[in-house]
Amino acid sequence: MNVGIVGAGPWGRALASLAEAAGCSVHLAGRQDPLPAVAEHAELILVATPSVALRAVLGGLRPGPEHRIVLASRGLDPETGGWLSDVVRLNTPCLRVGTLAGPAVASDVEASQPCAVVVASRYDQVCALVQTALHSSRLRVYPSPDLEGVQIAAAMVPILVAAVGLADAAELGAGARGLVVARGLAEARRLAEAMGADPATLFGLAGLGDLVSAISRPDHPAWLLGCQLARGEADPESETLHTASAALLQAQRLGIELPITAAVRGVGQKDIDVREAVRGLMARAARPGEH
Amino acid sequence: MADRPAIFRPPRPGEVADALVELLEDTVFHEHHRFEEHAPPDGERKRIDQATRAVLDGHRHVMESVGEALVRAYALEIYRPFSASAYRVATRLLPAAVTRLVTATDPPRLLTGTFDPSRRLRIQGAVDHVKALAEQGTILLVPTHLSNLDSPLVGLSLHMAGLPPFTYGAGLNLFSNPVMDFWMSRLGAYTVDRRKQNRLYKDTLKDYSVEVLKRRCHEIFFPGGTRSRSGLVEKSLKKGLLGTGLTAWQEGLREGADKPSVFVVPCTLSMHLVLEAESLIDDAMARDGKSRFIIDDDEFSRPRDVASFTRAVLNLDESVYLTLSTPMDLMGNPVDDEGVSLDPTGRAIDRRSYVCDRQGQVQADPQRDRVYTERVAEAVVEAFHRDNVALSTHAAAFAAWQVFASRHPRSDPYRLVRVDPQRRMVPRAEVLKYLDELLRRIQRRCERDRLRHALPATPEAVLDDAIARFATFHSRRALENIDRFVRLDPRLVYYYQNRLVGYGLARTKR
Repeated sequence: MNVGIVGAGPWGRALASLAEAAGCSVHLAGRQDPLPAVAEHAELILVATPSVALRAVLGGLRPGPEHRIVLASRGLDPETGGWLSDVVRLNTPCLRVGTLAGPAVASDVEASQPCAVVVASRYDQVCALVQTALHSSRLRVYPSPDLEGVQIAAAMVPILVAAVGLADAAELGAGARGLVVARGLAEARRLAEAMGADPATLFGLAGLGDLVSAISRPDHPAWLLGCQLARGEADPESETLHTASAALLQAQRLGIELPITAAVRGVGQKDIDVREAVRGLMARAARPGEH
Repeated sequence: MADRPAIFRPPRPGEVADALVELLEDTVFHEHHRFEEHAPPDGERKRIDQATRAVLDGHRHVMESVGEALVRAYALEIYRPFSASAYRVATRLLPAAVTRLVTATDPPRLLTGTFDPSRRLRIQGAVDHVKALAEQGTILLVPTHLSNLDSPLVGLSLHMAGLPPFTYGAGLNLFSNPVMDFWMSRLGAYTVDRRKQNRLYKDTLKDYSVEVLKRRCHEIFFPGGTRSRSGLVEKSLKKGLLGTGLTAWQEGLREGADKPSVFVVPCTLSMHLVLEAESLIDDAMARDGKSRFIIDDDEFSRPRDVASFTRAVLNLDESVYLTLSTPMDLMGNPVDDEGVSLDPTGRAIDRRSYVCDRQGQVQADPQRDRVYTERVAEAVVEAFHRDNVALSTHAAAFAAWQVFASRHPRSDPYRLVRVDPQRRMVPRAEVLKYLDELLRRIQRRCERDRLRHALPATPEAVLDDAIARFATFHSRRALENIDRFVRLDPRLVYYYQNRLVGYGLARTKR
């Protein structure tokens, strides 16, 4: 199979090594490489670039009806707050779209540590192609039909990891970690339900699995972002903060609350400091029902 | 043929007999259930009894022959012979018959020649585009469905627009009248029996539709499955028959057919009045039981009502709007006049790549085809909403209903339609004020290409036009002036206002 990979960062290179090991012919394109050559070469294209670059990537790729595009990017569309898969659908003739998410990271793949990802698509064939290209004794690839649920999970996990990093750096204690994880997943589930995804997906590999893995890694970019947030040193242009803004935009439209996401974004934009954020979260009124 | 509904699959070790048994069991089960509700002709019962015995005995060759007999019987029931000469006669006579029907109440108009049927039916939208595509492939026209009069209305409209004849599925109950049977059969109808819920019948019906499309017969199919009971524009569609276009196209490609393309054309019908409105909304609001899928005792079954309705509708200018939306391919992409599919940027694309491999061979993938069909269904629903035409009866009913509902803030529609008759009055001034705001909101939606309208310019004109139209037909008046008040019939008003639900037109609470 001919596989194209756009994005030559650590994750893009890890995917390329997996696909080559599976016997695929791989065309890896970095920032300076001509993208039309990828579309010409490949039937399956994996996009491993930041979500803010997706429109530009698609403009350069000019994929056709024959392609299957799988997004290994995280987040929601920064322009509209909508699905990244819709950015593909609304800007290209490519219909067969999927997304890749889960706890696998490039360093684990390189070190041949056991790891796994979920590939989600409405098309069984897309999931099967990704399994053919990537599944091996180094990486397990699980298929899912819940394209939206996996995208929400991939978008929300870094935000929650940043919140945990923030709590750790602010020395709020182990209880705060548990609180952020459980209540963070609850707000991710609310958003998933409101956006038409299956909330159960949040408690699978792409959601809970990825979250548990990420908060255990002291080198995870989102956890490090949380530490920077606590020190007031975070880059407000970071992808995770853009995703938080996109999630809040959707939440506002749908009439739901995402208090932890709002706190992360608020601290990131320096609207509030860490103490105010924690006070705001803890001062929320008690309510009946779910916990 | 691999992606066609499998009535009899080729033998696979250890599986064939089960598939056949399952299919026959499903048929026997559903048909017995149908017989309990409606006694069938003797022949039908005999075939099902034979199928029952065959399943119980378990002889494969008997089951196959019984199954084939069932398929043959279903196919013969579905098929009706189109007659080109009958079509020519009917299309020549119909405008004159309509003219006579209308002028029967106003004979001088016949003499003065002021009646023109084409002014009553406004056909708009992509008419020339569809005409051009009818030369390039097969048209699958999918209209919204309000009334049993829709089929002849759409047929007449397409003929008046200069389009070729279309075949269409019509409920088997409509063929019970011998005159209707004679004409509908010869004008291109085939039968659809919605009471038959078994898979064998549904697969036979789908196969029939595939064959019709492959033979380049343009087809009309109501994707909502039945008339809109509530008056709402269709939001969810039946995917079964809609998917036959995709199957026919792929089989055409595989067989190297000349012009195998099938184009989907959404068609939105907008009417000031709907013949069966009273029966339909009563059925939709029946909370004590499931609404009936087939209503065989409504206004359509009473010839006098049909004649009086037709007169009422056609005596008023521009009563019916038929809007053809931009044609699309079977994946929901728009197509140009030459039938070339276009991507979201307007670039021409080769749609065969959606179903073929790099060598150009069609790849069977029923799961992929189901997703494509869901996508085209979404695009059709979007087109229905975009090309729905807001008319005076809809806007006036919407405003009156909103004012009425605001006076009973704790009541849902089911309670509102049961409000005491003495309390069904709303001040005319309030309705006009609401209408004034509503017209502005409708205008804004139209400017953004989210809705169409054909409304008089002022709130007063809209309300008076709607009241005049409501006075022409229904046994109950949806709206009528009583001094400084407007009296409403809540069920009918709810039905007509539903046509504008889903556009965010209601006044937001402050």
